[in-house]
Amino acid sequence: MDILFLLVPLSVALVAVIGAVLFWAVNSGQFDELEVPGQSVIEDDDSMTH
Amino acid sequence: MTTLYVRDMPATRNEIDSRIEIATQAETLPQTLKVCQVRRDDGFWEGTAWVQGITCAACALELEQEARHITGLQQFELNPASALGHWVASNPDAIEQLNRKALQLGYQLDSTSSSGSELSLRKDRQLRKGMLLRLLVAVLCMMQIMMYSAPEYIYSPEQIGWVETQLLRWAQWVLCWPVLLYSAQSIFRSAWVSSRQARWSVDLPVSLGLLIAFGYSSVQMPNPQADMWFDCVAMLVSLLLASRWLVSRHSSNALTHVLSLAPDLPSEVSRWDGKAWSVSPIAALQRGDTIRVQSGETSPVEVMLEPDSGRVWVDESMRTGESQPVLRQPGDVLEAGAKLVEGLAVGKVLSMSAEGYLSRIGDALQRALASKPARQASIDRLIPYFSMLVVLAAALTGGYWGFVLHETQKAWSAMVAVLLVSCPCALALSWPLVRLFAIRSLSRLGILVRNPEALDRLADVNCMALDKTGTLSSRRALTVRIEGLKPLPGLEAEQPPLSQHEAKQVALMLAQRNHHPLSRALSLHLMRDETLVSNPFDVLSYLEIAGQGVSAVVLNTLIGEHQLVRLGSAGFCGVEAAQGHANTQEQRGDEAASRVYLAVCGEHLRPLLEVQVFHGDALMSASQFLALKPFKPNLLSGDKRDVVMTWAPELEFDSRHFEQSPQDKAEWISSQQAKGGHVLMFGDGLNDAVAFAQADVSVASYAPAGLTARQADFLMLREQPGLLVDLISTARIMKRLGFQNMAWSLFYNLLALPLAMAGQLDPWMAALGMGVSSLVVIANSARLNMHSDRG
Repeated sequence: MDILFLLVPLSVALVAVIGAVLFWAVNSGQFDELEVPGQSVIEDDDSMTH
Repeated sequence: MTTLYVRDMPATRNEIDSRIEIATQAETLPQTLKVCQVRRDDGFWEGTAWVQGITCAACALELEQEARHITGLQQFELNPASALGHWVASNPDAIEQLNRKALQLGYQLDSTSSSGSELSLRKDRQLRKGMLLRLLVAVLCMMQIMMYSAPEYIYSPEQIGWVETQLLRWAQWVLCWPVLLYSAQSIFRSAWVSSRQARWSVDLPVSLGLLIAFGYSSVQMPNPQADMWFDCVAMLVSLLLASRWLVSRHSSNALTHVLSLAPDLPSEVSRWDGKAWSVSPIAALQRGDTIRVQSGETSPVEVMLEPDSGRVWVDESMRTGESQPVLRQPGDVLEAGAKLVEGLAVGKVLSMSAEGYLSRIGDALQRALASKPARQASIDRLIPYFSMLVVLAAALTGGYWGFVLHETQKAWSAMVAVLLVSCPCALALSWPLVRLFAIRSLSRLGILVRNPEALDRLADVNCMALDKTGTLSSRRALTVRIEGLKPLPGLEAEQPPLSQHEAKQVALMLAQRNHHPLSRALSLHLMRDETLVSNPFDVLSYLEIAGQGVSAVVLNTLIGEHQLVRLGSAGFCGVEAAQGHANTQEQRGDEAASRVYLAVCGEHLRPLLEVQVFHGDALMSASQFLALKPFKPNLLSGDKRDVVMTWAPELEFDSRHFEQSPQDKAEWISSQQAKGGHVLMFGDGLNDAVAFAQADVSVASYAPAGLTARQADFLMLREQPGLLVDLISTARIMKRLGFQNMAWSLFYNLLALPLAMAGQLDPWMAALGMGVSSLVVIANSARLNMHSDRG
């Protein structure tokens, strides 16, 4: 089980990386509007596509 | 820097001048606070503000208690769900004092004024971004901590291997730090803030529980027998933050929904300065200024179109939701936010408020969100006692297990369980949340809640009084026929003081000044007559007599002659005095019509014109109306018998009452109330004020110009009387859900506390139970939206 001594610290480091990604995502506005983008897919106006 | 914004409150227009005076007074006050407050008629100051840093009911409660110590602050209500505060103060400095106190406690009052609404929305968005990040970090860490802790729930440390167990514990401990230091900040801060004030807040037991759980686990890490509670800490923080984030998301949605209706209003407008058109900022505009809006532009203020403006086509979809452009003619009001599709609008500024209509709706909504129903106030008083009880119970539990039974491990775990399990957060949210959802879904439907207390009363309504004209029937569908009247018998020889053409011009001038549905129909009709465009008449004085008509002195500017004229009902204009005359009019066998007369007062009242207004059809279909039936709809109309009795026969009213004066309506309502009825009055609110005051709940129908003048509990922003059904059903659902929430949270707390004290709950169960109980309240309240979405 020696591999745990590598994997556990690695997973802690991974959490830090994911946390950093979250900060980026929230601050760049990925979560600002959760409803409109979802609906815009459905309400796609076909006349606009060529 | 002066930063006090004085804004147009819902009030009559003639008060605006005095407001300007107030604005200049206010600017001399040393203000560091960016809030808006307005002086009311009774001399009190009233306003609303966002309060930054309100993360839970405890914070709201703390600030409210603080506000009680400030002299001059009559009333301060803070809704924890929306973080909006609403106050009434006898002096304008009181709120400044409160802000100083708030700053000490770590909160900040912030503007919700029209010019700052966008700013505060942005700030609110930033605040929610922060909340979301804290939540995400907590959830991420929680998942990882749970993974590390899972082996210990299944195997003993000996089976896992002691070194590996310690490694896993170390990893949990490391990941617990960001949860406590970053995510749980708001919880600790609120607990710290209130304990500093020797007050018991909701977050105090939770914070103590978190700290004890983390401290005990950290100390016991080298002990193979001890349980680790890092996962409980992370879970509790995650669940608590999740519920708070959801609440804040919904509360700001309610406001953004209304404010998002606001089109991008221009900040500048072209103004006539006496010689030429010049570009002027909106802030410099004053009531009565003449401005110009070109096609393609949006009117930034409320404008009364002038005669030389011509007809314009306007897109008012931002408010009505109808994309069809509507025709506006001289004398009509162009609302703020109305976009000109065609034509050139020239007119006088009616309302100084930059966002006019919308900001008034926004104001009213903010006030509704900020206020707190009596039911919630009584729960709020309970909460500090409850927190105190929990901490006391925890101490007793710890003492009993530790010192009486000498089970140290159990003592700590039971104590943590008591502290974590019984946070009264769910209780504190039970009512504000359903109300928030109700206000939100109503504003989405197009009903503005002005008095949230009325939402509670609305659920009990069992009788309805409905007005007809302008409420159930459209004012737009009115058709008008004008006829000249023959002189009264015996006066044939006398030359009429006004020719028929002049009489029409006078009628147009008077009708334009009045928002009564009949007047509007008349002015719209006369406006189509091109020959009336150059109008020599000027109105010198103007008096409205409720239920009768208007009396005015008009000046013919061409010949300098003035006349006293009346426009109104038959009796008011002396038509009924000559019975024979009236009869010849009746003999024409008209279909249902209302009649308005124009008369000149000389030695006698001399009626000159008869205006017949044919009523539009009902705005409701019979099938829609059926939904109203359980509430016993009754028609109370000021119209004549034959009009009322024959109008819209497909609608089955419980009773139809005709020729009702406002006083009659009020009396009818009180007679129903004497029989135990809870009466809802639905009218246009312009001349029903007495009846509105008498009714249990008042609902004002859609009327573009009358928003400021009416004092109704609810205002319809769409011309759809059928919304009444949605209004009542929403209120009923709200009441049901509110009681469910309260029952659930009381049941949960009363059940969980004894269990935890008896040592039957592990800390992880306590954390899960507490978090889930809050989420249940939120989910239950959100059902209100589902109901209204379906409708």
